[in-house]
Amino acid sequence: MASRNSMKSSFVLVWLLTLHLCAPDARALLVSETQKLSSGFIRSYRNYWEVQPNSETMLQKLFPEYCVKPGRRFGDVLPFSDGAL
Amino acid sequence: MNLIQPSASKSSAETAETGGRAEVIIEDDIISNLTVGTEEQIQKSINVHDLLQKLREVLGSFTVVVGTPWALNDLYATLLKRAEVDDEPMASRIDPIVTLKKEAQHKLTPALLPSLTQEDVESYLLPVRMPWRFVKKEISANPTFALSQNFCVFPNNAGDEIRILFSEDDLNAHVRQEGYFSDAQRIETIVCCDPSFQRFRNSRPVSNNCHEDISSPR
Repeated sequence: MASRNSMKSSFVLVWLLTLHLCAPDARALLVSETQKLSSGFIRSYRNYWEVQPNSETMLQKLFPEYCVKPGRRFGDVLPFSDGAL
Repeated sequence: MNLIQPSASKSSAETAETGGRAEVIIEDDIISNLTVGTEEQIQKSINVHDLLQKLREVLGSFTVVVGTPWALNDLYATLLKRAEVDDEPMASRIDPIVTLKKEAQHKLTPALLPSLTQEDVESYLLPVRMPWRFVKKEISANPTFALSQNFCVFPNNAGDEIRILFSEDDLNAHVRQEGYFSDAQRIETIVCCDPSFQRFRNSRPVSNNCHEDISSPR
């Protein structure tokens, strides 16, 4: 538990990033109070892996094999299979 | 890699997730003020959490629960209580917006929180992002919400702060009515001080300092 605005959600997503980098076959279930919040939560996670043209993040430069390049679907890229991510 | 399931999928407390398994379940703010209004709602949120645990792989899986307290017996309080009695280990961490000095801990109530000063703070969780100015603003906006949402204190029910722990008979047995000491002999004069916590500048200061004569009945 932590105060509001203390970046709890951001922390837990970064923690999940490290988990997937270490164990790419790990399956995660992201749960929020409502479907809308869950959609936003998983979208935030996708954003870490989606490469925006000419603005690669340090993570995407270091781990390009994990990332989704412009014009490709998540299902086309390993280790992420299609579905929610 | 031939993955049998998506690496990450979503669910919510509104929907019942069936099928599929996960090594990690992340529950992020799974409850709010809208889902802890009644005992039934609180129990439902606990049931949702328990049902989600059925989706975990039997071995090598775990759940991360992230949130802020909303009610005295909400999901987070229940999990902390379970951790005290269960054999299954659960690591927990509570990070309030500020850590108060020991002598200011009594101010962690909705009534006394507005009297918190910068000198009462021992350390900040995020000093740059949430400095004293931010803390004060949160308290001023709504002390009750600030207590649960920023100070991570499980809120009491209304009226729990003032609780009478004695009966009327107990009170009468320890009180002498007016006139009881009228013909008593004065043996000593002492000063009593009632250190009550005044919240308002126009509060009656009557009880702060008063002289009493200690007398013994003749």
